[in-house]
Amino acid sequence: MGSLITHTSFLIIAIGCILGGVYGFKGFVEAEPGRTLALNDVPEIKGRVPEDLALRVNNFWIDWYDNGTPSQFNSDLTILQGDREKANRIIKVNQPLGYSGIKFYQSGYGNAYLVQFSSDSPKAIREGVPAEIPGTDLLIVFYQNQMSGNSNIPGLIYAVYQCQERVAFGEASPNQQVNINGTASFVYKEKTWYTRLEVKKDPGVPVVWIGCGFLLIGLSFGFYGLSKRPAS
Amino acid sequence: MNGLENTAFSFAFVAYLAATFLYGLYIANRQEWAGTLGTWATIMGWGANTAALVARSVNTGTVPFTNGYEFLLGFAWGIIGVYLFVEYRMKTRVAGVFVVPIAWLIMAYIAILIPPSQKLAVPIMPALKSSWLTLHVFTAIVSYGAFAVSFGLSLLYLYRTFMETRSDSNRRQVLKILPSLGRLDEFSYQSIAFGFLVLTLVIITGAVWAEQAWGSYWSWDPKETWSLVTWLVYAGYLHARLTRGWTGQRAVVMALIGFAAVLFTFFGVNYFLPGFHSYA
Repeated sequence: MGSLITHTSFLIIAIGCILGGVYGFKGFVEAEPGRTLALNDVPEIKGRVPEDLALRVNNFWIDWYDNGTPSQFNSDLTILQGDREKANRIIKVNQPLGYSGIKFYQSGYGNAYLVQFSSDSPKAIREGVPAEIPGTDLLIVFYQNQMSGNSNIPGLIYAVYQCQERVAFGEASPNQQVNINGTASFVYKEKTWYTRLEVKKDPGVPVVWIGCGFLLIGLSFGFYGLSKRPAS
Repeated sequence: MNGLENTAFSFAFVAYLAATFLYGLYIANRQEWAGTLGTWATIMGWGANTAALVARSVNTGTVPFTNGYEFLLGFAWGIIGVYLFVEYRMKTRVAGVFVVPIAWLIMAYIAILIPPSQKLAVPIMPALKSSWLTLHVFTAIVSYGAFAVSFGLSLLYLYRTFMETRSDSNRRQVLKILPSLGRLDEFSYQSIAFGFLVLTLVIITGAVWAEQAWGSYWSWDPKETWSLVTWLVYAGYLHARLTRGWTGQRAVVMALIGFAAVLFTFFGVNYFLPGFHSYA
């Protein structure tokens, strides 16, 4: 009896795994606070969620312990369908947000810098990721300068590229205008973060848990029978 | 480690070592008092081991299950806890000579090889902030403890087999206090069956937790993979026993391989195969 339940449970777990493999998906998105992303733009998710389903990152922050190590990573998220807000929640590690079978997990984060080009509004640019300078054919990339500034507003090193070739290079300090060869300029306003989220759907999960339940029941029956036997 | 934690640890360390010698003396001279003292030393060591875990928990403000040092302290506690139960059930003290030194070696490992940084009371990282932590680690301690006891009983089985082939005058005296091969085999089997049930719970609670923290119940992380290998070795033991009648020496060999897999899942994976499970 215990044996039958135990071995049937593997079949149930296998069915759950297959369901997840066939009908599930898993992708990652990265966004700075304030960004709204259409979930269909994520390659792994494309075509598997409603066309107008979107995710807005309202905020991201880190809670710290007194000794300077992180105590929690938090992303304030809103799920949008068209222009209707469907769900709103602050997710943390170990506390994902679920919305109609899709789950959103706090998976990582990285540095980003708020940079203002000419008179545009400030834009968040991720560390190490080239960004276009508006109105030009120039690409700019930023790195934290470990030798200047402080951990709240570090100094930056920037490099500007035109057709794969580096045309400018230098340091940028907070709130100082930097001119790039007379063709463009920018002001580095402040440091911010971007959050990395895992977006996952796995309809097989409940089936797997049911299988696990049967596995435990089957093994318990087996063990109960064993322990009731008189020890030789 | 602060005062009480340190003192309790040292006490347990000494008590387990003393218990090992007393159990050894009991086999050597067959005097009941040596065995009785061995049991008392083990019980006192276990009390001190418990106190070290409680003191640790007070120091860190959370369950003492959050890094490799704390897990090993729990592992030694689990081995002795299961052992004392089995000693009581088997009504023999001789298995202690093979089981208690396993816990003592773990304590020695903590004292010598665990870096001091792991013994500092630091707050836990976000990934460990889950209500699954306690159940997952506690079940791991219990199942590993049961497997260690089956390992000790298997060694005792081999020791008895060896003694039966010898022909000196000591032989008959020693064999008189050793449990029969059938009994050793049976208790090793029961320990494994229990450890297997609990190991299943360890893997399932780990899967539920991983689904919540990382979004997948199974990622073929080295720790997951090796816990599955361990589970399969013991599943093989149970199948060979129940369907092919593998008992005695062949069962002993599988029990030894199983415990080697347990040790590799902790020590080997931590040192050679880094993965998600980086805290312990």
